Amino acid sequence: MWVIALREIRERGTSRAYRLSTALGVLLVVALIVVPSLLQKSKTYHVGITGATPAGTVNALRAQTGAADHRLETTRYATLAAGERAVRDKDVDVLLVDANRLEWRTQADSTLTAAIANAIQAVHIRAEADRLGLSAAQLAQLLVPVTLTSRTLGAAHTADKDANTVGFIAVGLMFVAISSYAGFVLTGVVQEKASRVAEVLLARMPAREILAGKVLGIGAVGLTQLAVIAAAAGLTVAVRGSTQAPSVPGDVLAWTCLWFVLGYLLYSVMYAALGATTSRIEDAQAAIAPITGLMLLSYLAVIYAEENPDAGATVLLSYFPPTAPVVMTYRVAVQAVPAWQMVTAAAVMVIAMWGLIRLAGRIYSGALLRFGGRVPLRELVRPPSR
Amino acid sequence: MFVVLELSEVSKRYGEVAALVDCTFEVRPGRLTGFVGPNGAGKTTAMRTVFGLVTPGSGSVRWQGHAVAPADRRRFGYMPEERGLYPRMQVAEQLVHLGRLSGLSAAAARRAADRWLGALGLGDRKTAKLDDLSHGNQQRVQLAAALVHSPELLVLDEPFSGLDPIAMDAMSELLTNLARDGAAVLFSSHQLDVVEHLCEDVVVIDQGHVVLAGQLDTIRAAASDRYLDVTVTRSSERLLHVPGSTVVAHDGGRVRLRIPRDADPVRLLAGVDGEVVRLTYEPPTLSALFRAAVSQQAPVGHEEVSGATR
Repeated sequence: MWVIALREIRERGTSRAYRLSTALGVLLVVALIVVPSLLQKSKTYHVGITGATPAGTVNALRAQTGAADHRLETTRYATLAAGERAVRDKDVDVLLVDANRLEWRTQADSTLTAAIANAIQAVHIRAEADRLGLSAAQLAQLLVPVTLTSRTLGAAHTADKDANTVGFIAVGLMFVAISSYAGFVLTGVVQEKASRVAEVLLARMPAREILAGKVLGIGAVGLTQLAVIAAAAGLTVAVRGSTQAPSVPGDVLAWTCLWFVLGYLLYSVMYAALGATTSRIEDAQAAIAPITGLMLLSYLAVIYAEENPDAGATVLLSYFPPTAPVVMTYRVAVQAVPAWQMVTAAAVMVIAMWGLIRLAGRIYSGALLRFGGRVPLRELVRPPSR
Repeated sequence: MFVVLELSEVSKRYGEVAALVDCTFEVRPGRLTGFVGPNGAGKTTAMRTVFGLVTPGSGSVRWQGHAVAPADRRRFGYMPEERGLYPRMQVAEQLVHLGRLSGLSAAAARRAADRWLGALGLGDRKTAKLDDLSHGNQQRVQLAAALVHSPELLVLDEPFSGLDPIAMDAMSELLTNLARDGAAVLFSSHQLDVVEHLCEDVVVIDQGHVVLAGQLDTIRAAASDRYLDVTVTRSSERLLHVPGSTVVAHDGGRVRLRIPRDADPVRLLAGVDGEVVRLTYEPPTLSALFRAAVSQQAPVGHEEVSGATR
């Protein structure tokens, strides 16, 4: 069994496709972390001002944009025509006319509009306060913001947007990873059947071992790739010291890894068994349709879980082996799931897998030598016929 | 000389189709056993039962007296009809991989792979990918894959298919040497003359039934006919009318007659016109035996499918 696993590792690990996809994954992840912060930092607003503008407008504008970490450049134009020409020539993003009208070139920018509106409002308030005779202290009191506190009624949620994002990212990654790596197992099985290597292998060892070796080997390769990408991500975040990326608690990471491994094992064994009944890749896609359906179910389950994190159905779905990996991962990200639940769910998975591997082995060995279209499962699940 | 591989009353059905029916034969070490039969007769199925690729519905496959165990299969070599190798993997690596699967250590597998590739004339193509080799070379690699662990039993499904005469000679010599070194060799082929030439034992199968099995010489001698091949210098007219004989072929001065086993050839040739240039007296060839055995099967086959016993 290990020989088979080692072969998979060697063949796939050294292939160009693998190295390319790993490099691509690393690049993508690094870009996803780095680029957004870069884009935001370099935002500079160019505002043209013309007409009657109260004193302090520019300062107020600068205060607004500065609060949002943007830079501001203002240009004063003597005439409306000059200002409008500047807008058309893209010298400025917007023209503020008489402190009450904004002129854009093609489309209004809501962020800038809001900033300018706030600035104008602030200037107006100050002007009115002066006119009414309020002192600076009274004005400050007037403008004290009201603080609203937030409290969630549900069970211990880290119910901030960060956790949700982490949850969805983890789930998304899991989908992609499980589909790809289990997919490799599928194509490998079908290819070995088509090239009749399967016959030569089966003559030497039982089908279960071939299956296990394949699943383990590809899993190892896949896990390594993920580890490399994850390490690159972690490194990038550490180096940049960026607070833009959501923080991932260590235990969430650990559980995600566990569920990924379990989910991959389950799906790859199912893929392998069904793939063995076909002789061509095209047929294989049709054969695994039920499994694809299960994955879709998992996706829907996560969406449901987001809406109803405490519903009984959600808890149930986190035990049901095909949907457990994704639902559990999501729950772990947004909730503190009790350890006993995790352990139980994992145990259920393991038992399911043990049974599945035996069944898969029988289907695999029975179907591997039967060609010509798809072998009906009924014939294979029953013990060998006379 | 003891029996090493024994199939005993092996039967296998696939749904309505009877692939093997009470199939019984033996393979002995140090000898070549030829496995012949029409297409679809069950040769491949029978071979697969030896390796556990097919589980018989009834009957047993025994090796050295006991039921075949997975450990025994490590001592078997199998060359299936189809290629059975990874197309895009290096040739030497594949042999090492398969050798290790059969229980060899990595180092031993590597040595064996080198040895066999060298023996088969592929020493310089070790790092080539299988797809890049010619058909004949691919077949050699396939053979090496079956031999890399020096098996005690070698089973080959149509090893001579698609080979040119030179390659066929090389294959024949190799198989003969393997048998001489003590291995039990079973191979199937459609080329009856090759089987006749190489094999001491033969098994003829048709529609899942074994119709002939045993030592080729014995089977031939037990046949009720003999063939007399006579070439005369002058007219062979007389030969065409020898009583008690059937003319099988006639070409100028050469005549081939089929006569009963106990007929005296010398007496039959008395009074032949002219000088006898060439004379051959022999039992039926495997080809003739095969045709006779297989044609007898046809009516029986239908009964079998409906479940009636012979």
